[in-house]
Amino acid sequence: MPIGDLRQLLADQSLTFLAGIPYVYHCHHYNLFHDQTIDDALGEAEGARVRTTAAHNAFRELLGAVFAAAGATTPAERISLATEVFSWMGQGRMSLDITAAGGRARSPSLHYGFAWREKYGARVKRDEPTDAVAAGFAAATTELAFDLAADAVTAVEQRCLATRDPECEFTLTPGNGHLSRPAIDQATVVRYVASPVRGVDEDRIAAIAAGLLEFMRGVQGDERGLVAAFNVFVTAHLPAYYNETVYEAIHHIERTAAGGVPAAEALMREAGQVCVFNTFGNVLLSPEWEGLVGAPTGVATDVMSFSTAIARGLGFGHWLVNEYEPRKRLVLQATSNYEVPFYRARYGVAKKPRSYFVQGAALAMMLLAETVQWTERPQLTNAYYIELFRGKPRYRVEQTRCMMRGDTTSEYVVDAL
Amino acid sequence: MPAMPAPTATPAPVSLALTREVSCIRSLAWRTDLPAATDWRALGAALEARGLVRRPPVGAMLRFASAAGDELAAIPATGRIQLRVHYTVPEHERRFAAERLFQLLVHALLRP
Repeated sequence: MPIGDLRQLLADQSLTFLAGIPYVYHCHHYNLFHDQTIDDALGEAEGARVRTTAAHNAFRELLGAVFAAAGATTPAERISLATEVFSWMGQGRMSLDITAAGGRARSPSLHYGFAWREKYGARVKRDEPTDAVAAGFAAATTELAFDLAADAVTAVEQRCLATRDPECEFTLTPGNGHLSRPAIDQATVVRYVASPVRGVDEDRIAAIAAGLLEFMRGVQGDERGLVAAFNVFVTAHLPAYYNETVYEAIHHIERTAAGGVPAAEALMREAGQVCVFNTFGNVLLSPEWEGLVGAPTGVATDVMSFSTAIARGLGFGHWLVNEYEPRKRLVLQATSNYEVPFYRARYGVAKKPRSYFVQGAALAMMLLAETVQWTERPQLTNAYYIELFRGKPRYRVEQTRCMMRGDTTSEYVVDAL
Repeated sequence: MPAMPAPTATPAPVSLALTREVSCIRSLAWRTDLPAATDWRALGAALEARGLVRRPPVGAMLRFASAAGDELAAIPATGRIQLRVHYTVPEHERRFAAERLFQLLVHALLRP
């Protein structure tokens, strides 16, 4: 069964699923920044542990569902299908040499290691491996291939492209085992979405988002399991990974160092900014976008509509512009996003707004619409990012409604300072 | 970056410049712009005759790929051409790979 046949689309909520498990698209800039954010919040060792555990859990959910949907029952079938899924997602191509007792895994082309080396390798020396996602994947694959309990296997990356090794290598050894939790699947997700609402410029946004969703259907890993598109490396990724890392990190800080919570929340918000600046920005400047929609106009209302459409096209949920007054105010709403179902299913009702990713994204959409000179072929460099986001603040964002808190919708208000 | 004269449908030659494209991946994407009057059908055929393989279009974007995995994307409505060097090419060789693709484009324009 082709992996693409396992996809489902909840069209009116712009949510995408693989074998019933949510997935979204994120680029290497966001992925690397997200992981760095978790390490900054928790420290390198604890950050790596939380990231590996989250990937392990997320891939157990995905691969369990994929194996069931595809009728894969033998270890060989499951190992083969798992590596194909991983490659299809743009996460890289892995070779697994495993038994029920563990084994080894290796890859010359993992998304995180390869992209880190591309982005930072010439300037930064790294000592720690980058591929917690692949480690979690390898552990989950081994367990499910041999019908082992959750966390029966532990994976550790021993060599990494990012630390200048020729390829990434992992060892898989027996773990301690723990109870697995129910998967956050499509049935769970639909319990935590609101009826879709039409926003400003709705028809155009919906049409562009539909075109982008269709384009993304054709995006999949190449022979190395990587996706180079929109001038970035793209992955189909699991919201469960992003969410577990973010909320476990935040909850840990709330328990152990409450004074650090605002700084940690600001870090999580910044990951949303990084995504919009790099992913949305590169999409808008790409020839693919020019072919699908047209060349950038530089009109602020266009950029706002286009950004909203991109969010939907990447499977981020039904974002809509409720109100937009250039240079003054943006009211962005969402009747669904990929953060809410995870939080509600795992932790219950939140006491305060916690949709950090969209908070940061809303602020960045305002800046992209107002500040970037799109018709002048801007270079979306790190220096430009710092100039836009770390200079004198021009806007502030407040999440005024949050479905994690039990509100009927989520709302993010960006005001000029 | 190199600039080469290339004929168009109009009698006066135009100058094509190869510049680094807006991109976050180092030196992988390069850009040149062709006149709107370019005969895109003839150019596509000439690129195929020189070994590029036509890929399915993305909306109005035409795509061609080389055997090495490099790509040429073209937007006829705006004249934008993006040359994409494959990411496995070492960074110090990417500019030269882009220039080879650029040369192939110019030759296709000269002898469609």
